Amino acid sequence: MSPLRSTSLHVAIFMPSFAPHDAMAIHALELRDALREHGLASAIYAEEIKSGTGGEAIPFTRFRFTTPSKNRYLLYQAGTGSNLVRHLVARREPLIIQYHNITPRQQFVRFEAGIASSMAWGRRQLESLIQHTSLALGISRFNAEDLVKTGFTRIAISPPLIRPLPLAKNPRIYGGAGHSLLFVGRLAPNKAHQDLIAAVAAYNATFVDKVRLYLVGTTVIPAYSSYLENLAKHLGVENEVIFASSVPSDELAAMYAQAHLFVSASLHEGFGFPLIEAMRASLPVVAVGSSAIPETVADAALVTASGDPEILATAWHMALTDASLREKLIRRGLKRAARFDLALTRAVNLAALAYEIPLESITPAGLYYQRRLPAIPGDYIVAATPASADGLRH
Amino acid sequence: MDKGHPKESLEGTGKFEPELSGARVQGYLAEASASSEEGQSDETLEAIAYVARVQREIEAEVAALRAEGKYPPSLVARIKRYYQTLLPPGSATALRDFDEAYRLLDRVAYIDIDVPTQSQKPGVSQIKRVARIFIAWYLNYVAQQFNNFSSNLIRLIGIIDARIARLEAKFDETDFSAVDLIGVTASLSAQRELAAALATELADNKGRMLVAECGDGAILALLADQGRDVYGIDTRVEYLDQLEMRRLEVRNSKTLSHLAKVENSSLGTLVLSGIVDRASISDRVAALFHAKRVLYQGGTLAIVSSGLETFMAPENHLESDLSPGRPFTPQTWAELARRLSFSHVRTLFDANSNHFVVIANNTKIEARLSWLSESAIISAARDPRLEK
Repeated sequence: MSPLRSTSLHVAIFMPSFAPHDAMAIHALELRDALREHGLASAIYAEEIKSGTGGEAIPFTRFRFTTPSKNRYLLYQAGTGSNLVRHLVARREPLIIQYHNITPRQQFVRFEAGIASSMAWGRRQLESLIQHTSLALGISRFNAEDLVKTGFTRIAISPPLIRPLPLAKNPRIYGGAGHSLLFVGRLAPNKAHQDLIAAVAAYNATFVDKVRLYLVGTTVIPAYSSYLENLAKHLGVENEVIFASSVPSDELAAMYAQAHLFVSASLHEGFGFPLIEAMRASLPVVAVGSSAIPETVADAALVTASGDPEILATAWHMALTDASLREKLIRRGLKRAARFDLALTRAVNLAALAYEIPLESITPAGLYYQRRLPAIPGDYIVAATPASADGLRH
Repeated sequence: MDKGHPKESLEGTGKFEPELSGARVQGYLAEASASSEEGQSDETLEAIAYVARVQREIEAEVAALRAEGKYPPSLVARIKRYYQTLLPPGSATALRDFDEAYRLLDRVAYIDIDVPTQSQKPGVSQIKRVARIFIAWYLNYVAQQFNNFSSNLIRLIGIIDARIARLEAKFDETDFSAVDLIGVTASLSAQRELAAALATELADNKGRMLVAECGDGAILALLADQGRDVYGIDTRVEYLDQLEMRRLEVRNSKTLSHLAKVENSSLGTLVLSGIVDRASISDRVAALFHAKRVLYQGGTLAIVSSGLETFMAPENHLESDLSPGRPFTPQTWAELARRLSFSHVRTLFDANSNHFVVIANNTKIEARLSWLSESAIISAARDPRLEK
């Protein structure tokens, strides 16, 4: 059942839920493949495996009673509360967590108490993991700071692994007149879709040119989705706000390619994967500067101080109508997206894991990436710096 | 940590031994988050500076669009109103939300010991049932304690709710601004001579001016026509829309909440109206304290109000009936201003003395402010020397 070889070091990656097209699942797959390419054995175990994942993940129940091995490392992808934790902390192998951030309970409790409780559970588990964890990885500086505040002491930053989207086979044509705005993210309160909808109303009431907003993302809380639809209706923009739900990857790539602007009002992001996907597609970005978003976009987006409708509408108008600004945002976006090139970020993730896992004992990867790959941006490695890595912090 | 550690068996492989003490980590992160140039790369500093610059540009553009009337306050108010009213029950702060949240809490504050025993695996269901029987005595004991606790907690919340409801009932929830004839009257739209006299008094004032509860904008327009750096606030969007179309700078904001956000010593002039007529005594005192704080040394406070005759006029019955307190006389305002260390206090009246403006200069604050509590002000208002 397991691809692991008894003679090699192996890294078992654990996830509460494994779903197709999910950003965290893709990250885990890429990390698994990177580990395998560098001579380690690796597999993904999930408590819940959604359909359509093509057998990439193994049910956790098949790992649960595995005999402890001195060659095995456990890598838990933390992002919500999970039953996995109680099993992982009871094992003898070293436990590493990779922290994708946990949305504050307050942002969910007004719509759905159950999910809010799950977030609170995840936060509580994170605290309990401190004494069982040998290394904590944060996928952003924002997350690393959260880990420090929580009480972790061995921390490194390991950026998310964002796979390039496939080329579109069946390009989706945006319908209707006006500029096409795109936001990608599940319909959850922390994404603040209501601010985007309100800004569409403000924009279309103010400017001669009009906008249509495409919201790609699945419903998490029905009450929130109903609220958004009602809001669009009452503000008179129900025809300008299109709920696209989930779309295949190639179609999503086409939407990125054909939209005029990527917009975000999200209140809480541990990183913000779609922002980088938009930049890769030469799509200018306007985003509210919350949580990890300023760190993710740096100077390659219009970052607003708030999600007020007037502020967002004005920033959108600037990005849609000022040709030189658009050109600058696209150019900087491409440069910024290159920082999250998959090969590079895979290398940085291995380098971060090398703080705990002796990668160089199997391949020279650790040494190579820590000392000889000048392209690794210095600010990736913030919290944990090897004493001998002189050339790392540029 | 007492876990087995593969690294131990790999000694001599050249593995890095990073310095990862807590202090070291804290140091790195502090360094990374510091705004000093030493802690960040040039690239990061440039990005931070860029974001700050862009945000200033966006805000300037918003201000320019507002000045052009592109963002009418009524539009923004409408959007924000829908934000709240469309939220599902239990998600906002209205009374119905408390009831809904209370109902949800009541529903879940109970531990059910009848754990489901269904299973798709053969025989497991029977095992679960047996296990449930065996541990029922334990679960029952624990669950009873929690259920007793939650029942008492719900009872306590119910008692607190009833107490708060009694307190709320003591306050009139009427929307005063919606029936604020006095406030409009106090903005001197019909008292041109008094408004002109006020403008003359303020002629030499420097700095930014704020007209709180500007109403239909009589004073605001007068000052703006003189080329003054003046803006007004109000919550009545119908007035704000009209004023914006006249290219006057206005914001949709309440007086006290707006003043709370104004920086210390940042205004040259503050004109208070509306709130000084109909607010509670504590709110009026709060407005005065804010005035003292936001005005710079030498700045001017102007209190625009109406006499009791106007307040009691038949056409103003809503105000006289619904307002928490009766308006202060000009003598009371003048005395309170003096007690707050304002100087050069003088009062302007209109021709028939139904409307007045108390003007005072802000001077250096003195230590005796501490005694100026609400009760002291009430005492002052009852001072027989102030009757006249």
